[in-house]
Amino acid sequence: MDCRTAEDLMAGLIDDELSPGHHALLEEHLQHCSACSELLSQLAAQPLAPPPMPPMGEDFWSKMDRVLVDEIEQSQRDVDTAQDAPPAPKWRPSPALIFYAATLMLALGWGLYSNQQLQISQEETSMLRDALDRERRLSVQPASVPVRLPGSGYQFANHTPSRGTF
Amino acid sequence: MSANLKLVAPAHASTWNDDEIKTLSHENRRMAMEMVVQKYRDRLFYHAVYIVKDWEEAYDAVQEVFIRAIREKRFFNEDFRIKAWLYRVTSNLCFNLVRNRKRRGAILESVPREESFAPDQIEQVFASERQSEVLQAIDQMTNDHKEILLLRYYNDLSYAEISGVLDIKLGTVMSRLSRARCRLLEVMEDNTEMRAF
Repeated sequence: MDCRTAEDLMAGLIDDELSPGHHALLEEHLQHCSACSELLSQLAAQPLAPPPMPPMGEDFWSKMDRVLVDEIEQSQRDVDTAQDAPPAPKWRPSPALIFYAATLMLALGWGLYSNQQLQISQEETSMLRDALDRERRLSVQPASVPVRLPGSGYQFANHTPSRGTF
Repeated sequence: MSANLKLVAPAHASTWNDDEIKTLSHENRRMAMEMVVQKYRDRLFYHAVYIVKDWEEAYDAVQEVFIRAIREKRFFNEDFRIKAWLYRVTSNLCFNLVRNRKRRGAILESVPREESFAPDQIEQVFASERQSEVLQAIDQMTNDHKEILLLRYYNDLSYAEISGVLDIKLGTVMSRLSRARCRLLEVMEDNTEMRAF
């Protein structure tokens, strides 16, 4: 055991709160360490005792008694009130509330259904628009196609391929 | 009229242990609470006096502790540690009072302090020169050291009870007490040198 550990156990030795194992270890250390023995004797000599308290007068606690009795009675009343109070009635919804709740649920359901339909129609519109764009791209005509011109061997002529040509 | 306002618990409340008081509370909570007040208020009051060094503030602090105890719903529960709770709340309240007083001190330093309602009693407590020296030295220590020394040597709590009050392990109680006593030795030596100088 080192001196630091021995110091931590000294109060336990003085107050007789040390386990037998620690007691033996500390005693063994103290036999070899004069510094710790000296410290222990100094600590044991400390005048740590409560000073005698003056006796309380007969009415010393009377002010506190009044306050505490009031508080205890109030607390007792609270407990009694809580015990005597009838059990809280079970809550039942009124017919009007049921009607409003049902209406609200229907409105919510209709709103969700409408929203879903709107999304479907938007998707369909988008698909149709894409198909139309594809159609237009296929039917576009080139600006000019070289054709054979008299004398030059080549001439420009419009060329319009029709569907089903390929 | 004042007789009706007195607490009615028997004077031998201090001989009842906390478990017996808890059992009594099942039949008569009011009587059990009065037993607790009768049993602990002197000790808590002295504990408060050592910390706040003011009769009136200590009195108010103890009253507040018992009001909190009365309002505490779990107070008589099986696993509730009455003694530890009472000391813990008293210590906290008193250290807060001292802390607030120190804060106010800077502002009110120049204003003469009003006398407490029983200055003679306070003087009597700290009358013995040797005890006064020790208490003065304890007052100069950190709150941790001050509290553990007061609980052990001025309120006679066992290590197990201190462990419950401070919510620390038994080994920590022992080492903190040892260090507090070593520190007390140093502070008292310093104070003696200062006086000699």
